[in-house]
This record gives sequence, C-alpha cells and structure tokens, in this order.
Amino acid sequence: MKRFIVPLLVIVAAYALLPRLFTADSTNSILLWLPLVLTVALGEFLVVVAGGIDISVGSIMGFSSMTVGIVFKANPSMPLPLAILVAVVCGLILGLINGALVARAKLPPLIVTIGTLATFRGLAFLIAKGETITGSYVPDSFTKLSNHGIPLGEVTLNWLAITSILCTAAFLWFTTNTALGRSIFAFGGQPEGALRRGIAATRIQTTVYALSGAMAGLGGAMYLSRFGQAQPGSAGSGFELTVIATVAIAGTKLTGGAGSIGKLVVAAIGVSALNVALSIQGISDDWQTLVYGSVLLVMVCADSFRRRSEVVV
Amino acid sequence: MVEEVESNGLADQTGLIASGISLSFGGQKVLDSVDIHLEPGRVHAITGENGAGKSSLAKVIAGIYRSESGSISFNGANLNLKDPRSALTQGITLIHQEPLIFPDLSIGENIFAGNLPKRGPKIDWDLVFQRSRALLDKLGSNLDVRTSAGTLSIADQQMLEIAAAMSYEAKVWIFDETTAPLTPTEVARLFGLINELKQQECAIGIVTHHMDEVFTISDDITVLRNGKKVVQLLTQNTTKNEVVSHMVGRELDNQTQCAERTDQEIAFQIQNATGPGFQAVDFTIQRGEIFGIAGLVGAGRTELARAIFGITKPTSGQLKLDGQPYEVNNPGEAIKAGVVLVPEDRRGAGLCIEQSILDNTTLPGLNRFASKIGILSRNKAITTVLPKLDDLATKYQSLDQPVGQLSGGNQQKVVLTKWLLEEPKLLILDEPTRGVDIGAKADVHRQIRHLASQGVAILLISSDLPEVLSLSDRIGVMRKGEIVGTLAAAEATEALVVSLASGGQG
Repeated sequence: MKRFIVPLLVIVAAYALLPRLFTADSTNSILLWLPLVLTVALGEFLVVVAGGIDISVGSIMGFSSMTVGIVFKANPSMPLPLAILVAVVCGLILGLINGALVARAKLPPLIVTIGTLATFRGLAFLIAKGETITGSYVPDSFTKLSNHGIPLGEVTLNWLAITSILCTAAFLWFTTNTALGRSIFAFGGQPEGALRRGIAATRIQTTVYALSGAMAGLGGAMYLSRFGQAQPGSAGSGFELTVIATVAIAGTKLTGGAGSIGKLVVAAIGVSALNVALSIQGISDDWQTLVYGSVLLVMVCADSFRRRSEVVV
Repeated sequence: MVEEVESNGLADQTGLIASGISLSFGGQKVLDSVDIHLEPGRVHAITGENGAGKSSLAKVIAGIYRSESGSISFNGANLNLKDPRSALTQGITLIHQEPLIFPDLSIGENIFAGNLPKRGPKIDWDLVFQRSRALLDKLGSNLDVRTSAGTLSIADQQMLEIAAAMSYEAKVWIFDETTAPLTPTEVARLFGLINELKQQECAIGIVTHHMDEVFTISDDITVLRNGKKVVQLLTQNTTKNEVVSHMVGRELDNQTQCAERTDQEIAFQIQNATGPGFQAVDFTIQRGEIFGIAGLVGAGRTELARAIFGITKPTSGQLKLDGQPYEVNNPGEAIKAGVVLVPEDRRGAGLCIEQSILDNTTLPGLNRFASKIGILSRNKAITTVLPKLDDLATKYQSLDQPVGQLSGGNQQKVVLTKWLLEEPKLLILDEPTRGVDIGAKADVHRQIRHLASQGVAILLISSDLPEVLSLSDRIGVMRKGEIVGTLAAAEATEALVVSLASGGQG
C-alpha cells in the first residue's frame, strides 16, 4: 500500500481542492476524463517501461479523431465498432512509424516523437482540408457512448469508461502473463542484458510504439465521442503532457524497467479528478498546463532520487 | 598420445566446430579465418593478448556477432546463428565477463528472462520459481528466488547468468574472462562448476589470458594473435612459456634492467605525513628514480597516492616537490604543479571512452595546442601526440578512432600518452598494467623506464609483485597505512617483500 502513496496523494489533493468533487455530478465529470487519460496512458506506460518515451500521442489522437469524423461525414450510418476500429488502425499505423524510426533506424525516441508530434499534427490538418468536424457530422449514437452506460445510482459508468477498464485488464494480463509483456520489463531494465537472453530490441520497441499508437488512436475516438466535435489544431493537443505526467505519478521508473498498472489506474483517477477540480474552479488551461508540468518535474526528481525500487512480480 | 588425439580430432564431428570464422569492424580485421573445435567433455582455453580476437570469437559462436565467412556446426549439423536467441535455443551459451541483470525483476524471473515457461497461453509463474529454486540449489546458492535482483553481488549476478544458461540445458559453454570480477573462493567455485559441466559431456571454451587459469582448468589451448589462430596445443604437453611466446610472437624483455644509479637531486619528498588511510609516511624520490610501493590490498597504497594527488588532504606532515613546499587542494592544482596520477580504473576514471584518441590525449593540456586567440590547431596536436603514441607502440587505426574500440593494453597506452604530454615531475602510476596483456605490459614497462631515464620521478603502485621488483629502484613496503620497510632493488626479493607486507617474520 505504501507504494500507492503518491498517486493517492494526487486524488486527495484534487478532493481537498474541491470538496464538491464528491457529488455525483462531479464524479460523472471525472468519468468523462478518466477513459481518455487511462487509455492513452496505458500505451505510454509500456513505452516508458521499455525505456522510451512517446511525445506524439496527442497528435495521434488528433489525427485519429479527424479521420473518424471524416469517415462519419462521408458515411453517417457507419456501424460504431467499425468507427472505433478505424481509429485504432489509424493510431496503430502512426505508432508503427514511430516504432520503425526508433527500432529499425535506431533514432533517439525523444527526437523521433517530437518530430512525429509535429508531422502527425500536420497530417491531421491535411486530411481535414481546412474544415472542422462539427457536431452535425458525429452521430448521436457515437456521442452517447460517453454519457450512457451502466447506471450506478446517480453515477453512470459510461461506455468509454468501461472500454478503458477492459483495456486496463487486457494490459494487466499482457504484462504479467505473456513472454512478450515480461520482455518489455526486462528490456527496459537492462537492454544489453536482454539482448544476451535473446530478447530482440526491435521486437520490443516496435511493439510498444505500435501499442502506444493504437491506444492513442482509440483515445482519439473517445475524444470525438466525448466532445462531439474535433478541430485539427486542438484535438488531443497537449495531451501528451497529461499522459506522461500520469505515468510519472504512477511511480513508473522513468529510465525503464519497472512500473505498475495498478498504480497507473490510481494515478489516472487522480489526474482526471485534478483536471475536473481545476476546471470547476475556473482555473484556465494555461494554469493547468503549468500544474501538470510542475507535477511531472517533481516526479522526475523523485524518480531520480529514489533508490532502486524493490518491485517484484 | 598426441597423434592419437589429433587424428581423433580430424575424424570427430561431435561438439562444436567453427571453421573459417572471419569478422571485421570498420575495415579492421578482428578475426581472420579462425578454426576451433570445442569437444564434448573437454575444456578448451582460448587465449591470446588483449585485442587478439578471443572475445570476438566467443561472441560469434554465441550469435552476438555474425561471421562474414565460414561455418559453425554442432555434432555434425550446420547451425545458422543469426542472433543470440538462435544460439541459446541450440544449446550454446556465453557467460560474459560482466554480468548484466535486470535489477527490478525477481531473481527467478532474472534466470528465466527470455525463456519463461508457459502453461497454455500464460506464463507458469509457479514453475518459474520452482525451477529457478532447483537451479540455484544445484549451484549451492540459497538466494530467495522471489526477491528482486537489484542488490546482488557480482558473483551472485554471474550465478544468475549461469543458472539462466542451465535453464536452456546448454551443451556448449563459453566463459569470457569470467574470473576477473571474482574473489579466489568464487573462482574455485566456478572452476568446480566447469569441471562438473565437463563431467556432463558439455563442450566448454574459456577465454582468458591468465596462464594460471589456462593450466589449472583446460585440456586444449588455442592461441590467437592479431585475429589469427596461431596454434592449438594440448595443455598437458606444453608449458606456460611456450604458450606465452605463441601469444606474443616475440621475445619479451622482462629482465631487470636497473642501471646503477648515481646520486641525483631529490624530486619529491614526503615527511612524516598522516592522512586518511596512512600514517607517518616518510620517503623521498630522486629525479629519474622509480619508487615502488608494495603491500597487500587495503595497506593504504591507493590512499597515499590520492592524498599526494590532492584528492584527499594529509592531516599532518610535509610534502616537497623540487625542494619547494607542495600543498594542493585538488587534482587540478597537482597537475599544474607537475604531479600526475594515472588511475587504476581506465574506463571509468582515465578515459572518455567515446571520444577519439586525439581528443583524449590532448584533453588535459588543450591550451598548448591553441593559438593565441584560443583556436585549436589539429596539426600541432597531431605532431605532438603521434611520436608519443609510437614510442609506446600503440596499436590503432587512426587518431580519430574512439578509444573504446581499442584493447585494454592500448587504452592504457593512450592514458599514459595523455599524461606524458604534461611533462610531469612526479608520475604516480596506480596498477598501470592491471588487466593488460603480456605484450602490452612489456611496452608499458619499457615506457616507464624510458620516462625515468628522462628524469621523471615515478611512484609505482602495483599488486603485481614481479612488476614492482623488476621496475623499481627502491621499494617501500606498506602495511596498515605505514611504510614498514624500504628496500633497494638489489636486496629486494619476493619473499622479503611479502613477509614485510604481511607482517610475517622478516
């Protein structure tokens, strides 16, 4: 339990900032944010555990939400699962580009994903051809995913939240029960040692960036569902900061090799609650950026000062 | 007897046969059509000077490097070793000099990383811990397989790698200088294990340049020199001297060459100095004299050197350099005053491993290669550095080559060159030839003598007693932080030094 203290503190801080968060309304607001944060953070988590970083997730969200919007515009009666599949495949392809640049071309992940951050955002503008996706293009059934679901009293566990919970379960299973999942931890902790054990860097890196892309793609669909509209410049913009802060708050070793998905969930709840608290308090986006940035810096310092963690499977 | 074994060797296809192995890095041939046959139930020593290609050969066999030509077969079947995984799954394993573990993973997972047993689609964690427990039991270790591996000693880390190799049921084992980080007890345990593997008919290769190890454990010896196989010998039919002469390919001048010294002026004087790790130390070094310091590990030798170099400060006593009081607060001041320390840990403290030879050698005295307005002259640097490197017979491709690509002996020569450019008055050498092969050792010794003949005072600290005895004009023996005796070269013998150092009957 001691290990959960930091992510729990963030939740406490959010609720202390705004006691009103305890109400059903606020809880529903948090549940609007949580799926986006958690879904995209899951992918980022794997990248960080593998010793990398993916700065481009916000742009991938932007690109995938625009793509889904455009597809809806052309074909308003498209089945919802197909729309979600389009989003995931968009993200997967962009993630594979990141993966190829890092794993095959052996380029540093930070530089690669800063480059693709701009490139993918540019692609989002290109396919939008100057238009925005307005509410009229997005079917009601799609936006309903974010405010309908399983009612728990006054609180609704919306379909997006359920999706993100299912994703979390899948990631948990993947990272504890599969050889590939465990290899990511081994590779992140000691790449050279992993090579000696026959764990190939290209396979690990390609996998994590592809998965991060796919999750960001799914996050883009969630964005479109939650906001009902998307603009090429703003959809998902800056979301990489929220997500990386979440991964850091979860105590993930930022040099790679260790981290817990349980803590990631708590951190995602904390970040979502904080986000809602700051918004309700009328604190502007600029200040929110400052808060996330500072939290991230604090966590990086803590990670660096912390002695080797004693995390065991 | 010899003929019998050799004719068997030709017909025998069992074990691992690598033939015609070639490898180059950046145009430099590291291995040139090398053949080796590791037979089951035999230990084959792969030896040679640093840079001879022994580790590269081991890495080719383990699938880490890909040979440019030739073939590798096991029990008659050709192997395609395209990566470490393919070698591992075919029962070939390489135990590295420096073990690399996964600090955040459990000991059990460390052993099975890359090879986790599954039940259906899931990893069978119970089996992981059960089997790693059994493997560690076999190795005589009682480490808890469920705790994290983060804090293990090097020997334990190495054991995890050995256990990992056992989990693949490896039939071909190559140990690459694995004894280097181990204590004598741990080495004995490792040799016990190697003998056990031999009993189990594993084919074993050991990469080493320690003759003692070669003759303790091996049955066959392959000597490499400059990437070529020089000779294969039967250990029982050869001698250390024969192997060494094959390794070096030339005669070594290891004889004492202490010319009678005429009295010279005193370059360095330390009077009644006490500091962290040493007390009441008193000696002088004349210009052109090599003053050796012998003693057991922990006798205070390195501590003394660090204090003279300004890393720590003596609490009392007086130091003089060229008759002037010598008091320094940090190494920068020491270098400015003309005192230079060549540290023991080359890679960590002596070199910028990614930087070129030229950058490394010119680093401390960059100003000397600069014009008045501070622009560095490459020509000036090259013309200064080249003759010094050649003096030491340094082997390299170009001055722009990163020093990390050089062998240990040549790295040490680069370190020496760097400090020689400073033209020091007092040169402190801390273990100048540790981990350096025999040929390079002779080059370094020659250079040390050459420096002394030019009037540099040299303080030589070394655990290698024959080295101290053959190089030094006088030897101070340290025990428990004190100099317990000073011997002239003529009267010093190994027995006398050891008895002084260990406090035995003198």
